[in-house]
Amino acid sequence: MSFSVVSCKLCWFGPVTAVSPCPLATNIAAISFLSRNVSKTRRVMLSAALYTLGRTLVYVTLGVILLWAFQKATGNTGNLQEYASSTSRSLQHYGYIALGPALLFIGMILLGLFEFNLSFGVGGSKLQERIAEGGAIWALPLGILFAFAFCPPSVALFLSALVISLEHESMVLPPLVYGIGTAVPVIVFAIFIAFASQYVGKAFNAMTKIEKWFRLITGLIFVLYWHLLYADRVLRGTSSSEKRERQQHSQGHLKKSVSSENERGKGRRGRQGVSTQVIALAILKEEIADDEARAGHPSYSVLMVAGDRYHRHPPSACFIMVVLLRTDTHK
Amino acid sequence: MKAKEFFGKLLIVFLLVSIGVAIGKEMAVRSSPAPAVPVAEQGETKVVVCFYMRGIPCIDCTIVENTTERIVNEEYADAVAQGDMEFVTVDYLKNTALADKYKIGQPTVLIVQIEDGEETRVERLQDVLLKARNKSELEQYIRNGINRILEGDEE
Repeated sequence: MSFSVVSCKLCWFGPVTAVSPCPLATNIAAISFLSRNVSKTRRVMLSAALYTLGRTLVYVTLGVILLWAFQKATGNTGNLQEYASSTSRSLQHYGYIALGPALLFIGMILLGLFEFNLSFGVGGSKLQERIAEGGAIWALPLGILFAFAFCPPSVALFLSALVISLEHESMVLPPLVYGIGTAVPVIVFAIFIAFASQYVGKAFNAMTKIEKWFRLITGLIFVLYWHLLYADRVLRGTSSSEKRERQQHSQGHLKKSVSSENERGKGRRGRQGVSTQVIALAILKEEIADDEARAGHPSYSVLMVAGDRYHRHPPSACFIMVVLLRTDTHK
Repeated sequence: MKAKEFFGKLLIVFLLVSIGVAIGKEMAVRSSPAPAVPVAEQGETKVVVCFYMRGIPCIDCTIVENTTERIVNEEYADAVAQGDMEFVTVDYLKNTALADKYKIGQPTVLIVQIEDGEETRVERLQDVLLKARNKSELEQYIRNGINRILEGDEE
């Protein structure tokens, strides 16, 4: 395969990762974060560039370390996916755990729920104000953080990019192209939102209001993600039967895990949908007190679907609901 | 304003508690032993088609899971009925012993041939997620993997 064909493939891997169901969830948060200062188009674009840099830095660093270790250990023979399996599992496990508190923290700052007067020495102003007011530099750590949130599709595509690195003896270029590719949809949407809101804001002379709403929605998304990523998974109690199953699994009983694993998987997905639905319903009840009006609202239908089909992807469902609710009740 | 302050403080408490509980859980999992035990019972002969996925479901993983299960149950219905073949799903982040044994770090279909309770051959289909959006290609990939094990072919 020629290098140009490979480059095209790599360029395609990034956006495919970005719109895969799991990274898509974090990317919605990223888009809203980058667009929180819609009145300053240049700042949005700089934020987008720094966000891309953050993601790319992670993929290139990780790629170079993995490839170097693989070549050292195996002399370029063997299977990279097998070699990187434990690293890959650790990234998926710990990246996810770290993401929850970080998202809640940022969400609280954006919503103005967390106030503190600590100065970190950069310009002397408050950290909270600097994040909320849209200092572009904050997009860099966000890019780094979100790049570490590996999901199954992103792991599979990232390792495939590294296999291409091995085949073409190019350690940096494939992960670099891949990293930029993963940020492309986020950049496009952030810039689009910035320009579109400029136009709408000028037309209705309401830029301050738009910006306020963007910040509110961004904060809500981050807090909702915390619920999904953390409260729902990390904090959830483990029943005695689940503990027993886990012990059985850890002992490697493949056969005995057949039905219980499948059943448990279905139950877990159900619970995940239901608990997110409860929070979303509470928001809906707060906004629309009348039962009939609430049942007739389009966001109610979205929620009902969220408990069933969309239970695999509740943050998107909640995001759609919040947007529907806001556009409808505040127009 | 009071409600906002209260909600803010509540979230801070949740944040701190969640970090504490997560650390505690992680320590508990790390301290529990995970001995490796054979994957089948003594004297058993069968083919196990196993989909290793992360516990948190994604659409592509679900497509692969459903497709693999359907192919096993429909196209190899006789073998399944006789107990010669079965489909299982394993969470590779929780089943660390199995994941370490087969070096699994991403969603993968593993076809394991077991004869007299001993594992004799393993076919590893690690590109399933890359083929998830192409139905016919994914089906053929899985079918070929199973047939290679059944026919005793080397890839």
